[in-house]
Amino acid sequence: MTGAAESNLSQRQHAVSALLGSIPDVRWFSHTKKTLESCYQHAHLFGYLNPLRATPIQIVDQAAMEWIFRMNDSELRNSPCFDANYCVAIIMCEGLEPNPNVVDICIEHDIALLKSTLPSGETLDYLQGRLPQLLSPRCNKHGVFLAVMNTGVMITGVSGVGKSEVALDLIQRGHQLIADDVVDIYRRDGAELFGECSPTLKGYLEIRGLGIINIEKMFGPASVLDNYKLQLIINLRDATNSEIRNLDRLQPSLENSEILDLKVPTLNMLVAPGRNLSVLVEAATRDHLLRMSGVDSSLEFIHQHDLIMGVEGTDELETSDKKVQHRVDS
Amino acid sequence: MIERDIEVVNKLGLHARAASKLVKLTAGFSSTIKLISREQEVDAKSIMGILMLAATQGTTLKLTVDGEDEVKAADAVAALFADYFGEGE
Repeated sequence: MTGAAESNLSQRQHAVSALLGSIPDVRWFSHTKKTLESCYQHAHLFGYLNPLRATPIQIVDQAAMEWIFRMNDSELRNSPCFDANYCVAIIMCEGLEPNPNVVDICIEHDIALLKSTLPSGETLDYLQGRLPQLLSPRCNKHGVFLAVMNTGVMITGVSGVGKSEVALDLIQRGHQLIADDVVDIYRRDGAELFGECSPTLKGYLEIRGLGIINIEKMFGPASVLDNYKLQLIINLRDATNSEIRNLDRLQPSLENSEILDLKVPTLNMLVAPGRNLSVLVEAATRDHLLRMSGVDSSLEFIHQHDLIMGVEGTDELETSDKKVQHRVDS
Repeated sequence: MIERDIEVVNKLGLHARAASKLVKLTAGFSSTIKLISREQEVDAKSIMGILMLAATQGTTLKLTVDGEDEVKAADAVAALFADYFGEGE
């Protein structure tokens, strides 16, 4: 999908300046419009300035500086370290000052040039620590993201179903808000999803009739978190009568949602008058935690009942997964 | 499904009160209405999402409308943008 590719491109573009701008005590000499897209596949995104093995982001220390001083202008221009197609940024460390011709070349070749007082080793460590989060695959989802009993729960559903109201109730009960309405989700280490809030909206919640309220000020700093691991999605749905009648009363309506190629357990919860949603979300979270520790309340009950009845577990009472397994086996 | 590019023409951009007007309008339609600005896709029925876009004057947003009343909804949203959100500039 071209849309997705484009989105990744601008995110990475944003990431370059966000990453470099966040280096402590940094000063910019030139900026770049380049992205890391083309070089993202390379194993080494950054390293010391080295004409034998140039990297997109290069660190200049005393030794590299001496090499720069030895080269004349045209040698520098033609060096792979200042290649206009490849090099994205050069960071002068240890408070080194770039000489004027280096600044000129960087401006001409659209290379970001920065200086920092940080030692070169620490700058490398800093980049290593920050880069994975900034360059990780991202997307955003419509929903409210909360930490309920130390579990990252995203509440989704169409506009007006009551997501924010449930969130307010949960915050009142001592759980923490991460993001309202737009949840920025990123994948970390290829295996975990994390959700965070866009800086514009952080700590705010919109409630119909109350407008936009400042949760952090109203409930204290402990009521808001920066980011959290996404573990469960609860999808609120306005129930029609026939849906309520046809609901499986024995087991939760669980399925998997796919976000950034990872599966997230998703519970469909019907909204109807008289259902206390925040209590239901809490109970669903507790049930999820139990299930993750190997206890499935519904199944356990069914098995216990079967034992009392003296029957073997019948096919229709088993989970769909087991049914599939049965079919595969036979 | 209707897809259309719309430009933010008013001086102050998609600021808080403009966003409020937009949400009031979109909430009246049953279609799913989305606004996309660069990588961000948000629900045009939710004020927080729209505010997050922080779209300034001159920004081009992609509008997608999907549902029974999509034609009416897309026209109404485009008209509101073109009318400077009723702010006159």
